[in-house]
Amino acid sequence: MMKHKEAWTQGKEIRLMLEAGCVYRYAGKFREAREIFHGVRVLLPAQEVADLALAEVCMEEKKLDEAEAHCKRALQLNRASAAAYTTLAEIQLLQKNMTGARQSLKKAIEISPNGPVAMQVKNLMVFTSMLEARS
Amino acid sequence: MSAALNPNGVDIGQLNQEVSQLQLQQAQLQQLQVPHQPSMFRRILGGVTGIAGNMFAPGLGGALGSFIGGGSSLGGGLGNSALSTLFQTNNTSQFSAQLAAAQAAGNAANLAADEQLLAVAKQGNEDEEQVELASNLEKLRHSTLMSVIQNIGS
Repeated sequence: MMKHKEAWTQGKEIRLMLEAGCVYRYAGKFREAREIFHGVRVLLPAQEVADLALAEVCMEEKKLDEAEAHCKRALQLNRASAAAYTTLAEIQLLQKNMTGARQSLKKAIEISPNGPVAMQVKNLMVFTSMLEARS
Repeated sequence: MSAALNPNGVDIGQLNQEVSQLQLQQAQLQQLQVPHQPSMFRRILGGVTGIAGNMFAPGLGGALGSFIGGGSSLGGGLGNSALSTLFQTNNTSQFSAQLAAAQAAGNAANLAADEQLLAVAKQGNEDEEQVELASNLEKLRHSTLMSVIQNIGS
């Protein structure tokens, strides 16, 4: 009982940390955001969420290769992460790798056909089509 | 004597007055002078020519007669209105041609402007769609990450 409560409290604190990191990222304070997400990665080494958050920070900083590495690490931790595939698709779009982006989006929609991830995938597909029409 | 007298003893003021009166009289005489009139023969010849000309070319003959008879100009006198009508006829046809050309040019310019406006409106719509898409993507990215964060420990 005590262990379960402790785990719940710890989960809550980690969620709070991640949300604070997101606030830092939205404020453009990438160094602080990185520190928090690295801390979360130490606390939760088996979960992909910290790597996903770090990938998004790298995307904001236009460090696309580093962002891709974080995404791939997140996928190594969880092969069924639709969010990781979606983030990877976004990075591939920024890298102008349309084929790779389409494949990643296809995998993401297979894993999660509903919810916010599916909506994001659909929007990204429209965005990909627009980019392809332009080029 | 007063200061108006010069060393020769002539009254300058009176002299100036007389000069101005003389100038005024000269100007009135010039106005009264009749302008040069053409001779009687020339006037008769002009009249006959005008009548004969009007038989063949109404308006133009009168103008020609007036010109020979000593009218002020070719367009003046009897044939003034007719000649101006003739010129107006010619001018009207030229004017209508110019008007048609101007209308055609105006229509082409309007079409080009309309096309440009349409292109701008289309570009504006595309830009708006892209901004909306980018905004939605940003929101959905946040939602996705938040859903992943909320799933921790569950």
